[in-house]
Amino acid sequence: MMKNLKKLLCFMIGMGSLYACSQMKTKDADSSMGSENPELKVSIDVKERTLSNGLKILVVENHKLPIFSYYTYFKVGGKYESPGITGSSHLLEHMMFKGGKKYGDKVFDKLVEGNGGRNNAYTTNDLTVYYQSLPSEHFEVMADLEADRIQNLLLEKDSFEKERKVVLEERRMRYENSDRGKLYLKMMKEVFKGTPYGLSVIGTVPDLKTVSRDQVWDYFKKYYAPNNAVIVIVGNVKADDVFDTIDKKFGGIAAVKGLEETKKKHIESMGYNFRKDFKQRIQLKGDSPTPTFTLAYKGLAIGSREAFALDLLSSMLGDGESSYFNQRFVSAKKATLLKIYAANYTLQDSGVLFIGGQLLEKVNLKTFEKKLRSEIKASCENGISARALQKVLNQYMVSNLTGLDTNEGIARFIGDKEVYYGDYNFYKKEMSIYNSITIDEVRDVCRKYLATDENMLITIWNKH
Amino acid sequence: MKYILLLSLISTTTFAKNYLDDNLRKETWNDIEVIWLEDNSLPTYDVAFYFSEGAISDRKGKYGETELMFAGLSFGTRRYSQNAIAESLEFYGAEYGSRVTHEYSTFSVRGLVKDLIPTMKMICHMFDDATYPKKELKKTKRRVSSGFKSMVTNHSQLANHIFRYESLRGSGIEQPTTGSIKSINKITSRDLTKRLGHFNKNVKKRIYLRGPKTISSLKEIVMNDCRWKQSKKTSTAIAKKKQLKNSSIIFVPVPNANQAQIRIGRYINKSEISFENAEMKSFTAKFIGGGFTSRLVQRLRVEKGLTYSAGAYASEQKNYGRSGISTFTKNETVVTTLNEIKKLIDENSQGIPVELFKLNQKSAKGQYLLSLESTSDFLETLLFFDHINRPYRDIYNYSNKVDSYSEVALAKMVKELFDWDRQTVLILGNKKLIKSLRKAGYKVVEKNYKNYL
Repeated sequence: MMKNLKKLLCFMIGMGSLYACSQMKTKDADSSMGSENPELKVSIDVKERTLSNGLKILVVENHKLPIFSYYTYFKVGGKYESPGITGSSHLLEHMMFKGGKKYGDKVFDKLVEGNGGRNNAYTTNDLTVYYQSLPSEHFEVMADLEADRIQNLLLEKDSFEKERKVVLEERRMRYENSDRGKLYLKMMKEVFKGTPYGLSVIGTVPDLKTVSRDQVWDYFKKYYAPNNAVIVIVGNVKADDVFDTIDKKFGGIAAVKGLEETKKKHIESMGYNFRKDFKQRIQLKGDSPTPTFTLAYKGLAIGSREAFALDLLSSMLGDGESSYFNQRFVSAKKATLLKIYAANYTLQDSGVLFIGGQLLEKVNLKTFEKKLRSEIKASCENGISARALQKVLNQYMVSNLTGLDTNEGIARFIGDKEVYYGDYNFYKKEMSIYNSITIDEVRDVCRKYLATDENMLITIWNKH
Repeated sequence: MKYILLLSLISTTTFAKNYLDDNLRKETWNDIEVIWLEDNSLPTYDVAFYFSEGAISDRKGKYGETELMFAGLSFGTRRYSQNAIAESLEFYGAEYGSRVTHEYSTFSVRGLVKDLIPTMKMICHMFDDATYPKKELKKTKRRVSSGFKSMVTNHSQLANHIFRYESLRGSGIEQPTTGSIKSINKITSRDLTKRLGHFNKNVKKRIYLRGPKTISSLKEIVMNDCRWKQSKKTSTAIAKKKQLKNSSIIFVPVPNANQAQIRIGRYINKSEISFENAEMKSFTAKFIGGGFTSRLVQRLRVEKGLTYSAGAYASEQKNYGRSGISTFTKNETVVTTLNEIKKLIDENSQGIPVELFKLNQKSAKGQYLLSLESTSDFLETLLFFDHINRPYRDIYNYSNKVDSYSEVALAKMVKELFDWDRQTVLILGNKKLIKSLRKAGYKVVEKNYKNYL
């Protein structure tokens, strides 16, 4: 009720946890504006090196505590799969915890946790990310474990079959037994139908039951290459030592030739054009006693000026108790919704802008829909103001600074910038972009992308 | 104001052991103790107001009163409407909210140092002048009711909610701090105003801060705007002693489930609580179900492919605690999963291989250090230690303490915490599972989830 900066609907599937999407607007923005427009300068001292096989390494020394965090970004995710092998990136992420041949089966987790560390991973449409945090003296063994599994992954039949069951269980938990999960899965499938983003990252049930160990092995060989990865190390380490160690462990791994062409070819076979019949009304059978909805619009890929303006727009309209939609539908005298949010989900090559919420009891869905559509159109004039813009910029700043309190937070902050923008320093530019966007620009993107009839309404409840 | 984060310049000497000596300050404002972790690394602050009373003193039939009292601080004051309060605090980018346990409550605020004054002035004004307008309360009640009823769409949350009632039944704290639809509907604006007055005047407080020197301006705001009176009284209501026994499995049917949620656990009586074995309990829970190398994850996930996730916990407050196991599995493997858990607890109660014990020792020590990395989390640890009257030095004695454990003591604690005969077992899932559970020899009692909302 009182927590602002709500965690928005987002799903990253992984070994053990659910994470907030990094490229959701509440997390991925940065700003130098405050309530009195002060300039805030954040400078992270990053040292970088790229090995001859294309592996990029970023290091931030932080000697506050004798620990470090180790992130490995592989630039492969659900979008590189095809019908028949959906879910392979994620299944492979699970199999990576079986480790490599040098250390053997069931050793990876034992060495990480047995040395006082923790580890996990997640898979998105664009990426697969592995991360660990450990006491600093174990950096070398961690690098060796990572190098081992990339070179000699144990993808044995028995453990593969068991992990298949585990992933099916994960799917039931996240999506099949949750209205929220069903709604999200359907939205991604329908909004991006016919494009690489329309394939399910967790995988369809038939694909998960039939994808073979050999198919996943081929996928691994194709994409798990040093020239498709970025390693980020933050903590009590010396950058030069890190570069030497990584070079020693990974330098001999051959780059995959023609990788960029393979990726390009795969993407071009489908393309990113939105479906022509985008305007849809979809009803799902769920368990919720009142309708839960998502109203989705065609969005933009991460990085364009308009995409940044859409970030600001969605935050102004749907982030926090004082946001425009919240005041209209949740806090209003005649409230109609239990909750509402807006999100601009920018992916690497496309995006979706969506508004979601849940109706209160005794609220008629049809009447509500009419009101929602009319308020959305009105919001481009009434919901955007200089104060609302300033408020959002302040919220972005707190959110970003809070994340810099830990090694993991810093690693993820610069790692995300590196893989999405090709520049770990992009947060500095991002700040000035957000600051330079005017109210008129936000209004323009509102009219262009939100005040349109080209949208998709998906509802779920127990009466459908 | 300019801040440059030069992370590489942070001193290598401020490791955990002497971190407090270097950074902790203690002050007293209006008789209220202030614990301040000075941290100049970021231009942000964290403030946590601690109140030594929680939901255990909610009046009968009005459960949820304390939580609603805190949540409703932003409903409005004589000067500001709900919208004006939200608009003002969100404008400064402040994150704020309360946490109510049965024993104590906190109200936390995080924001930018440059906006500390207007933000905290508003927060203090809310404490000083909240009126809980009837119209806002009415809207909130409607939302709360819808929220409870929608819990059926989140099986894990619903299982946790019902399990709490069932595993704590008879202890006096079985009611969740959120209350129920019925109890919330009985709470009036007057009740909340009265409850707030009680917290402002009669409840012991402490203030926890993280931030740079410049946040000392908070002192005047607390003294002049919050206008709290310090009280030496702490809550006298305590949880009751509860008899522990395993009877029937409580089965809660939910529509259309193709996966069942499993909860197994027990209440920890006050007589079992001591500083001496608090870490031993969490060490044991970690061994059973904390992390990928834990016994549950290895058995249920890695060896059998029965679940995606399995965990165990054991935590204590001042006067009571809870321990338990949580997992889920598809309908077809519920009985197998239950049997495997029983077997696993039994095996590990008999004895524990040295290498597994040592792995857990190393793992626990390292992960404890990692858990102190975030200064905000560290501040929360200090707050909790103060609540249970525990000295801070115990934080740094953790490693030595874990080193003193033995595999025999661990096995004993596994038995003590997770022995099947002392557990409450709850399964939430498809109704047809009742038959297979009974067929497998389990006694089952069916309960309707709607009775817990």
